[in-house]
Amino acid sequence: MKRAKFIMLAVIAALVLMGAGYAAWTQVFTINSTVSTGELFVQVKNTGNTYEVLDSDDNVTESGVLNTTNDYLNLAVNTTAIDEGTSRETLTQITYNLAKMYPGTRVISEITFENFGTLKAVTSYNNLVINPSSGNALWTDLEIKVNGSPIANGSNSSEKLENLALAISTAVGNLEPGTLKTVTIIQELPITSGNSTEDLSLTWTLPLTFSQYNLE
Amino acid sequence: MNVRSKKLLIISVTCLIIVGLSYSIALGQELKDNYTNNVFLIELIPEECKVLDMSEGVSASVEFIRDEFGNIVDKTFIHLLAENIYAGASVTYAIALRNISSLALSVDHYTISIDGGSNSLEDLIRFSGSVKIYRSESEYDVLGSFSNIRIDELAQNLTNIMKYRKIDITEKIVIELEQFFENSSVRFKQDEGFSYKLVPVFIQYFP
Repeated sequence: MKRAKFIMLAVIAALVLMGAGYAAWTQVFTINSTVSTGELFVQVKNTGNTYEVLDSDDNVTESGVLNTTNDYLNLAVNTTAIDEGTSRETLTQITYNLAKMYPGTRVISEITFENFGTLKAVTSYNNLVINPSSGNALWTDLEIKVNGSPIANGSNSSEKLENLALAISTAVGNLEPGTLKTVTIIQELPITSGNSTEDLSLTWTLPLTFSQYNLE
Repeated sequence: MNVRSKKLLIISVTCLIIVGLSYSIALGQELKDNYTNNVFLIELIPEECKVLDMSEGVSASVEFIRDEFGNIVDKTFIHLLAENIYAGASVTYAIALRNISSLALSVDHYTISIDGGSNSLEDLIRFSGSVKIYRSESEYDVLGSFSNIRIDELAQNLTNIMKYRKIDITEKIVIELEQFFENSSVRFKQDEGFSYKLVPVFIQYFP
């Protein structure tokens, strides 16, 4: 019996020693990884709206800052902004209400797009709205330029608006972080416009979407 | 139990004790020598640990613990940094290690711990990569590779590739690790982050 106990103890001692020897020969190694996401934030501002009145020779006879409460030239630019009053304030869509225009008037708007994020952003649009949706002579006659380039009328109201949206998003293009782009939109009812545009109004809305560049 | 069986048992046990004792004594001696010569079994090769590739706009680097003079003080720790990550982005790192001990080594297992906070980034990260063992500067074997695995599968995949594989003295291991993110902008949140700690446990190689 004593011998059996001795054997048992010897086996346990041997196993303990083997375990200790094994444990002495391990080494841990640390690979630490930190991942953080970037930010996508493009601030859009309507920095100015002015009007001009032209004569038949295309000379500017009157100009000034657009006053949306002025009955004389009731061209309004309504914008939808989020986070108003903060450094994160930005427009999400631009809406133009064009009323009481007459031949020889134009409104000039400047929209700035500044990428405050850490990612390259691309501009796109969706859900364009024009009201009335069809058959508006004012929309047909309206000459629109984006950064000096005229917008084609297209075959219908929607197509012209689509062309306008495309021109704006192309003008903004890819926005690298820290860059600022300014888009100038000129809407003019030419002096040659006839009576068909009398007493008409229209509204168009361009919602803006900014995406990270690799999800174009 | 007859006398002959008992004798046989005693002899066997005695042999076992001797084996155990000699093994531990030998290990103890090796341990002493090893601590005299070099403290670690395996350590990083800093000049070969680098960012191999990264997506546009991503800021990635590898960092080490350094003293005030810029010297690396711990070659068993590497920090992989990836900032400005976005949906669809990826970063590929190379992590090079060398067996600097006087023993052949192998990997017992990997563990991983994730400090993700309350965000879902860890669900969006995926890994691909390979493990190579360099017998010399130009000769290497690819021990294995993995593709498009989740973070909770990473440790097990690396363990499966490296376990039982002998890493001889002076041999070099290179782990190429690509971490990429699902192209799911809907699930991606801005200004978030998480970290994970991947820990391989090296042991003496047992044939």
